[in-house]
Amino acid sequence: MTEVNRRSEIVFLYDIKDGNPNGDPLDENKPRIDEETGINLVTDVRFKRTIRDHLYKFKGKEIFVREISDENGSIQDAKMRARDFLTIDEPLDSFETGKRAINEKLLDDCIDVRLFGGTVPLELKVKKGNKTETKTETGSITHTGPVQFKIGRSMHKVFTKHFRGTGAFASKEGATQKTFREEDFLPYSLINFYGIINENAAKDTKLSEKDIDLLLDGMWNGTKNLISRSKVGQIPRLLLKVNYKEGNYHIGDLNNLFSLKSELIDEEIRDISQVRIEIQRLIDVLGKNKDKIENAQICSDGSITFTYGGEEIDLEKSLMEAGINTETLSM
Amino acid sequence: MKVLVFDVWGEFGHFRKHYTTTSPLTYSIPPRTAIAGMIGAIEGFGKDEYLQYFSKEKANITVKISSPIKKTRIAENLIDTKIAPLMSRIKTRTQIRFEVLKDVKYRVYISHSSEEVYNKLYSMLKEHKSVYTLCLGLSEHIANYEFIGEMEAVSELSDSEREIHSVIPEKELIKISFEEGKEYFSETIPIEMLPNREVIEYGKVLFERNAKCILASVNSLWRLENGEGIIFM
Repeated sequence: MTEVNRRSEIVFLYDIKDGNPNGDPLDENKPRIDEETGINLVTDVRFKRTIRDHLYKFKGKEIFVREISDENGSIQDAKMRARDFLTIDEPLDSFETGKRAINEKLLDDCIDVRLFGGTVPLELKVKKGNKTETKTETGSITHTGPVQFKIGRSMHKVFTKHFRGTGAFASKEGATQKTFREEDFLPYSLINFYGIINENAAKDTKLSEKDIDLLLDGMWNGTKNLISRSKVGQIPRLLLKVNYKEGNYHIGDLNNLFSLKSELIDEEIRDISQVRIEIQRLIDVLGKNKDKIENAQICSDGSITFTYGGEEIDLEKSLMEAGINTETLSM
Repeated sequence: MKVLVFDVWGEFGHFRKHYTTTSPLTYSIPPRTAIAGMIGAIEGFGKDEYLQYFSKEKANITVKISSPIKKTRIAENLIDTKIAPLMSRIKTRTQIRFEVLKDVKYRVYISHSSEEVYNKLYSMLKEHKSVYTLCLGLSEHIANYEFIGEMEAVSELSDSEREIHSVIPEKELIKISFEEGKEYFSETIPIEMLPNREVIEYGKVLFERNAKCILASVNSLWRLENGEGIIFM
């Protein structure tokens, strides 16, 4: 397997219609809004959940932090879950031996730990000095994720719509009327996620290029395939991955080089066709750094209109004109 | 004395106050220990070792607030990973409001007694490189930075009022001259930590919330060639 040995920056745009991309558990599950600016927020935790679920359910990959809906028999806790990865029998000669064995298998098996890192609490039985008695030692394995995402944010101010409807059931036994349900939706939000893949941290978790292919697949198809009531309108629009050949280097803040323009006021935007994405700064900044860039990988669903200084352009063509090699990703 | 100066910024930041657990509050500025972590990330020192390079004896570090301090709250579901059954039938979710800093920007100043550490940092900053991903307290709060330059700092006798641009450690303060339209705050932050993460020194620092300078007389002050007055933490 090819190990990741270059740095990358990722920008991912997706939108949602009549949905709730990320509810706030402490605010009646309303969409998260930055009150100061009216911008819709989606946590990195939500986004990584989308990717994890896709990799587990659709790609058959083992993940560490997973939610199993049904399970017979005894119930494990996380320490037992960690023991699933113990390849040698307890009691162990030393705690370190067990920790090393678990760590190796954990990184071999769990793609989410290789991508996003994780903390695994350990509780292992270790032989005492006289070889017959055992004692329990505790500790943990910690990995910093090579792949980090910022909190995602909408590229425009959003509008929250409050819905009321009738539920299917009564609120309690014996009641004769059905209960009401209430929820808050966003009529529209175009969300911008930014991430970095760090080649140095990748060595610690044995992250491979194959894992990155799966990550991108999870970002794109996981977003699209997340069929729950509140997320069903999600559509991936653009994925841009800039790969660097210069070591330890990245430009940073690529997400801020995209800006949204529209004839409508922000809160009235309801469709991707009503906006244009201005990328003059992106093209210029990437062009200035072309010697440090290996290539730019692009996946687009073709529905975004890009502009350069107000003039409609083709993203891939203008990147090439700026001296950046491009590669089209098919999802 | 030569000082390296760089600006660091991000959309959000969270520097957890040591005494908060279930409702994590954030300091208004990155503590000295967190700045050491950022410099460690740029130079590529591992999590377990970076602190040993940035003790007070070896490194002079301080920070200026470049963008007004704003705080908001972001709620998240956390899992008690120690007892989460199967990491799956997760019943042990706790909903936590993280207090976070918003639209964060600071200027960092550092000088170092080791030429090797200093020169490595200088060359990394100059080329806008970093070994590990820079963040503002938590990994999701990814940061970016810009090198401002290497500057000569001259020690300034300051028996009278001077303009001070960095935060002011309270123990260096003689007298402050309060001005209209400025908001003064002080916080107790960790100053020095051992590699095993035992904090061995806390210190009180004074700052102006809106990124304005403070007029004060202090014990020791360094003046940079761009006119900024700084005091190391």
